[in-house]
Amino acid sequence: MAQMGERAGSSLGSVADGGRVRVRVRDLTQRFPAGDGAMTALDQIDLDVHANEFVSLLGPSGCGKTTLLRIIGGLIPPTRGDVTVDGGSVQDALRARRFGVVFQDATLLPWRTVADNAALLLDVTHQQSRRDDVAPLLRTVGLDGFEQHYPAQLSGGMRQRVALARALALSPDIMLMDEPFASLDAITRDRMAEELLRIWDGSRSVIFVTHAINEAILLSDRVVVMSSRPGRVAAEVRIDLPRPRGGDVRQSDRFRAYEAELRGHIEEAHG
Amino acid sequence: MTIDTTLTVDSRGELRRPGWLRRHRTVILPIAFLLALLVVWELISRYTDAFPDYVLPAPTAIVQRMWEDAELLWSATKVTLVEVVVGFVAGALIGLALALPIAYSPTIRATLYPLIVASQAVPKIAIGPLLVLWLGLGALPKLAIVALMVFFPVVVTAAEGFSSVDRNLLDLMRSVNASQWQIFRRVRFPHALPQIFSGLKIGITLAVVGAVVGEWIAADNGLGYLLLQANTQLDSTLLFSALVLLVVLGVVLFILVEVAERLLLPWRQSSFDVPLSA
Repeated sequence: MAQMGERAGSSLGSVADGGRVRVRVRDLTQRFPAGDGAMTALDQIDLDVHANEFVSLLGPSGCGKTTLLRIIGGLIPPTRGDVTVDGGSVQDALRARRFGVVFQDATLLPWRTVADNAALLLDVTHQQSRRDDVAPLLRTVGLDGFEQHYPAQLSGGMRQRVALARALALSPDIMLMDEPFASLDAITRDRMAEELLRIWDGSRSVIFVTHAINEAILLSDRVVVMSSRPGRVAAEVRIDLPRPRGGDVRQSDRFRAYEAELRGHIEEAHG
Repeated sequence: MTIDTTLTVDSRGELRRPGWLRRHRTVILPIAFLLALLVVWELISRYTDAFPDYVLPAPTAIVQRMWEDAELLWSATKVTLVEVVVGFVAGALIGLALALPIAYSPTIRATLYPLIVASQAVPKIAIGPLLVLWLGLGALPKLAIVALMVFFPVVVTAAEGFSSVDRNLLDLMRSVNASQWQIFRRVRFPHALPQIFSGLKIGITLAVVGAVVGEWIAADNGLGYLLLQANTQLDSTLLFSALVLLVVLGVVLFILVEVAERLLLPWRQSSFDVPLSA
């Protein structure tokens, strides 16, 4: 734990120093056909995510944060603007399998056991030799003993743990998480956020889409507030809470102050 | 953790396992009902003059006839069985092969789908003579009719199955640069299997119908042929014997497909288990 605290501290330091930028988004605009015209989903987004930084995109549904995440992950081509990963193209990063993706729904394969689901991306990328990595990974996400269970036998929280293990199996250095805990009940959700902090080992960047203010504060080094229609970066707030952070950090005055600040930014952006 | 759904809790809170009869009622009930029907039928044809023997022979008379003509009926059953199985396999393979381009290409889907639907609107018995003209008097026209009936439910269910994969799952595959073949093999195909099996189960029952239709058009053996012969000679016990064997054939083949489904898709039963807590 001490090691993690140290790492988090140094990451914050490096960010403050303008450390290495991992994902760079410049002048990104995304337009979709709508009716007889075009709807602007994202408008001139600039965003930097540093190596090992945890960044949350915060905003209500429909503000384009999921679209932004998909563009960064190379799943949608942007209408205009650039995304680069360590100076190279998104497609290069995609070919190098540097992205780990987690969605709101676990999207597990019902015919595969927990262990086989966690190993899915190893299988499809012909890395079956790394299957031995899966068992420790399942321990990390708290699923030891459930290796041979099928998804239908698991609760929503456990399924999302499998999805997390599946994404981590390829050891990606950029995690793209699209409201991964949004379909869980409030208690499970808080617990999963704390677990994610524990699992996030500091050797990767995370871009985390959420509409929950306290989740964003608990997890992030930096929270990017987005306005909607068109989606723009309305505010950026650095979260200077010491790491490691436990659930009790939510009780602190600074946490509440961040909550109020972010709420203010959201109200300003969305009226 | 699995919950035995046959267990109940009585008013004193004790677990109760239901009796043998209750646990096997899905098998016992239809058999008991069928037996009751047969007894009534037997009594009516033996003790009343409601129906002459050539209209409705007694069940025991049918059984006796099946025993006497076992050899004839067995050879006819074998002929029909081969037509059903070979035609079914051919039709299923054609259905799967057609489902692939339909699932992957909207253009091919738009081109082929209406034609495939139209092919089902054509009465098989009407194109039978044409098939005989093209394929001769042997097994081929029968196999063609069986395959023609089987491929349709398979192509529809398989195309639907291949293309109904969750978009997020496909995005996940793309995010690790997985090949189309890997996506098909690991996701689309297994995802489609339950639907394909629904198509196969419809197909296997249609296959028996197809074989009989094929034999009615031109044949010198088989249960359908025997049925037609018995009918023209008002030989009702032989007719019912062939009918019984056709039903048995259809039911046994259906069960075989279902057994294959359970062996290949073992995870489907587990969906009835009760979820665990987080």
